[in-house]
Amino acid sequence: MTQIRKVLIANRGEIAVRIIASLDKLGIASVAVHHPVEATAKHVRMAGQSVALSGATPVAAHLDAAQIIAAAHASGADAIHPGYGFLSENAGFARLVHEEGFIFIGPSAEVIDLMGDKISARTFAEAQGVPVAPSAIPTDDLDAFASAAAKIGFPLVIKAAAGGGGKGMSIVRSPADLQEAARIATSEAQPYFSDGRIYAELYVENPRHIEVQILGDGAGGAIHLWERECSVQRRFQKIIEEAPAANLPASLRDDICSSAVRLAQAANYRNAGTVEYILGQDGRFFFLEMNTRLQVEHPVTEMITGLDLVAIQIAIAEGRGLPMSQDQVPLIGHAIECRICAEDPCANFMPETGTVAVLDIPQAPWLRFENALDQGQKVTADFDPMLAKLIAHGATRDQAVERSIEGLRGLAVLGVGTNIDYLARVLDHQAFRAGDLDTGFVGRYAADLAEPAPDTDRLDRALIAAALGDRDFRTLVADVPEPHASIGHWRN
Amino acid sequence: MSAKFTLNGQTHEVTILARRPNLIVSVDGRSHVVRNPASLADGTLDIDGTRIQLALAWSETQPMVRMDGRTLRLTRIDPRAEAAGSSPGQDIIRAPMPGAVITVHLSPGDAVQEGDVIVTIESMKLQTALIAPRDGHVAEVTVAEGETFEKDAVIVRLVPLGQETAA
Amino acid sequence: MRKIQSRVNTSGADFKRYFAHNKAVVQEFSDKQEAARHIRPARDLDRLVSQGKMRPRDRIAKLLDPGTPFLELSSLAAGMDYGGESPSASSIVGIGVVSGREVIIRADDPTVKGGAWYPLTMKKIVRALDIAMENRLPVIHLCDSAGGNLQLQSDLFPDKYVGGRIFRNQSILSKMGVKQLALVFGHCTAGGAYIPGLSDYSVIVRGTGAVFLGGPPLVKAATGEIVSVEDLGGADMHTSVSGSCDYPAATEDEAILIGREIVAQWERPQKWPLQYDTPEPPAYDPDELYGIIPDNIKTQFDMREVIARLVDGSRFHEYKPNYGTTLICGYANIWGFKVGILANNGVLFNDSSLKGAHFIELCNQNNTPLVFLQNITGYMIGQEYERRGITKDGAKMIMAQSCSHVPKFTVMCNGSFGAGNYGMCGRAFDGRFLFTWPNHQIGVMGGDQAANTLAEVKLNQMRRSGLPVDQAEIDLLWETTRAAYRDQTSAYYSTSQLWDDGIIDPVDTRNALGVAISASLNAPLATPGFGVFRF
Repeated sequence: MTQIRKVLIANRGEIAVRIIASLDKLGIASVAVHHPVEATAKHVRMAGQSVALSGATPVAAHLDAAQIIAAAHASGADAIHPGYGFLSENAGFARLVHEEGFIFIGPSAEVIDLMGDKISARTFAEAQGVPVAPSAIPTDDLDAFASAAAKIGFPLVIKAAAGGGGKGMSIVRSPADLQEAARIATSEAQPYFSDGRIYAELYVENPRHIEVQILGDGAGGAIHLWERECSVQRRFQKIIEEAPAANLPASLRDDICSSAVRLAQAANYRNAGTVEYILGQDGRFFFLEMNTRLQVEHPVTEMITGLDLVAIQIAIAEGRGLPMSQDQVPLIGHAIECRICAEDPCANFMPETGTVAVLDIPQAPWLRFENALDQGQKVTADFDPMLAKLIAHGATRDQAVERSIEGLRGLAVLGVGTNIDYLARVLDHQAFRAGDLDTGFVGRYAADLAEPAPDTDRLDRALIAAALGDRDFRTLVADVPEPHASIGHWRN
Repeated sequence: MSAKFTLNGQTHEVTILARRPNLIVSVDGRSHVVRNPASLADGTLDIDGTRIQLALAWSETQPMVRMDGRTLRLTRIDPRAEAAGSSPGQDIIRAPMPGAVITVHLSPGDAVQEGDVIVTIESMKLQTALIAPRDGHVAEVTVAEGETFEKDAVIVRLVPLGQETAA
Repeated sequence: MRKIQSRVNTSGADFKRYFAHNKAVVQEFSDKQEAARHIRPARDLDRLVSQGKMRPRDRIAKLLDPGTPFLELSSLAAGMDYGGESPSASSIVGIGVVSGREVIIRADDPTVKGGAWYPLTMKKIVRALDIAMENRLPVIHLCDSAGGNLQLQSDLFPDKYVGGRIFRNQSILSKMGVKQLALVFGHCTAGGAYIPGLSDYSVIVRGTGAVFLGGPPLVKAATGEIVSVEDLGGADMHTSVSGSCDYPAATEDEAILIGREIVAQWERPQKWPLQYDTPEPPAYDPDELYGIIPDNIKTQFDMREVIARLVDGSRFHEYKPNYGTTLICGYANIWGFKVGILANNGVLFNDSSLKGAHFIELCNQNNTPLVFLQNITGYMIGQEYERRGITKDGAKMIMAQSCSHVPKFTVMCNGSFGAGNYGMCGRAFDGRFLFTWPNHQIGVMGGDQAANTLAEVKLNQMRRSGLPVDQAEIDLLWETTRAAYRDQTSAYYSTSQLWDDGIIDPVDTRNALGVAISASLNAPLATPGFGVFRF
């Protein structure tokens, strides 16, 4: 076992802030990294120290493995936490970290490689008896691929082998469209992922997105921390996640969770990871992918288990093994996470920019607000539009929904457009309340979820406030001499 | 004088009806009494006797007002732009100083947007861009490259807005 | 200060009769005002619309801060002249608030003969600029005039207080530091071109605004040059080439907004600190004024009842209440401003004249503006009063009033005859503002008295010359004199000649005085001092 004393967080924003919070609790020193544009950002201020990275763009700086390793050396860190995104699933980086003598808080580079490739991950999962969707593996011969794919049945989905996040995906509903779709997918994947390989898979209509949080000790030991449901998505990205999944039969939950553990065990998985599934309306579930890192939505798991996943990650990285046995994992109530994004739900969720002029955060024992926001902070197109996460816990799902809505209503992030009110409308929708979820939710209920016109009272009040918030109008109100102000409108 | 905003394509107007003893504003013709408007800075307003808690921030020209757990995002209409908007703009571009034409960038019939460079001139060893004062079409460029001109000479005429359809 | 205890019986027969009578008088006034403001030939209005122009009152409405008063001056000027073809003397003048600053607005009226100036238009403009000078009120000119009415050139060009005086006043105003802004909506031709030319700031509307000494027809006649209005004096030429105007505007709306922005740059006036208390409305309803003013000019009424319906809380500190009781003197507040009021309750005797002179001196000592409420038939005449020195006592009052260094305001409430007009700050005495109630009559004496006097003189002439007395001729003289006096003593005749700053509805008096007093505070107090009082 190694005692980790100083951790460099190769990330930024809310996840860096969240990791530093756990490090502080554990008495471990923290090192942040930052691009000059974010020199005064919250994660930089919170960390014990911070190292500046250079880069043409802030994102490029955070993707620059050599600079980050140099920063780790310079700061005397003994471990690196990659957070999510950026270099978190970059096997080369994990390898480099290890070679340079640091502890990588995450799985081995080999496992990252294995799971990073959709095709190898799929093959590996299938070999462990994890259900995978019927599929066709590509060859250079598009004709052969097409005929193999046609055997799956329609509809089917074509994906880039190296892809993720919905990029390079297309749905094919009839054999006639298959060849053309395959050709386009290849040509799209090539420039995007520098890898033109594609594969085809049974397309599950309106699936639910279920994922399992697992912990592995790196020596074949693994447990799960229950599942999460992430079916509410827009533009193929999650916006609301919850744990446990709503209306999931106990036996199905057992099947899904135990298959995830099986996979982790077989891979000798070390540290925290997530196995993602799609769950069809017919109850069949299929392996989707494994994320070899902490997920954005990990707080919902923390809230229903009472565990600190970052602390557990560090303990595992130190070689302390798993924190508990499977039958000791608690399951307390229900938790929901809402991703607060700078985007316009009324304009196809296009990203918004601006300045956070007002930031009011609701406070309650059952609420967590994960963020790196500051009043006056500029929201630019430099980074992901996700600004923060609001997580609410309740004894029941209904209570978690109510508390989430209440939390969203009490949350004010003004100066940049956000999806806060949209999220509240989603949670308040009867289908959501009924737990009737699948990935088609946002599209199906688009009309219900559109911004309702304000009633006249509300509109008038808002207009009055806006007018009084306008300097010229305020001057017009205040800047009239007596007795004219007292006489008011009068004509003789 | 009033403050105008749009929301979902509709224009709304706030104006002042009275200031004493309390501020009375009209919103689209509906009057409301606002007591102590200065309390907006503290996040409250008393409108028609109801105390409203709210937060307000501007994103460029868009005031975002949050109350009762909902944000309304309005767009402020710039009164000067609105007043100038539907009217003929400047049609003629004159030489600001004597000089010579370096480049003619556009020809009659070309569409221009406000700020587009139409002609580059040189005078006193300095090059100056003559830019379109408004959106429209070029009607005439009176000079050719290499020609000289005097101060205030008409260099470019735009198609007058009223005749735009003919262009 | 104590509240005046009204003794008016508002359910009495007199009150009701007076009320009905005065309501009718005010209705007639308001009908005349409505016609002067809004009744125009359709042709003139159509032309305005076709030019994309606003009516002048709409321009003013947009220029003013919303929810503020506009005190229009001399709305019935020229009403009884030129056969009524120059309503409001073809111009609108008033005081209001623009971008938080008190200003005087002067607008041409293009709906009347293209905004051409009549001699009384010039008198009204000169008066507006005099008001601007006396009260240091910034001026906003809304220019849209065809120029001087050439058929009347002898009345509007050579004399001292017509055309040239406008430009002289503009120059002096600028020198005094009193800002002027010209918004050029239409043509400013010939002399009119100097209005923007002599304004400190000017905005001109593209397409309709034009400024030139000679318009295209005159240029063609004089030099043969053929030139368009835009090239000769349009917005782009003047704002980018000649520099004669400062800001081009795409529309009238934009010109008004630019104008408001310009005014917002002006320094705030340092008003002199007249004692100010939080205003309170009169305790008695000002509407009751209609039931207080009698239906016959010869019927006496108590001016305290009028004061009670003008001043804050109807509170009045009466000075020397038991002495010289035909002149009421005392302190009150109007819209918060401390004033000294002198109001007639009968003919002026020696004692009332002395009291008035003394009270005027007190107000000067106290830096308190004076408000005169006129209902005066004159100073008492007759041997006894002459022996007591009514002439020298009246002279004291005139001396004190004339030399006052505090602002003075006059309201012609019912009658103003003879030298009483002088003592009570008639038009000649440089009061800052003078308003007339529609029932008011003014003259060197009453019509009956004048007719009687002239008939008496004629009779004596006939008797002296030994000719037989021609009673028919005397009767005719009497009738014609009385008729002329009836017309010429009317408020409408006065206001047509600009002998006042406008007729006002009695219930508007409080607001009119409030705006007027406020305006007056922009000018510093004059140097104190009086001439020689005759004792």
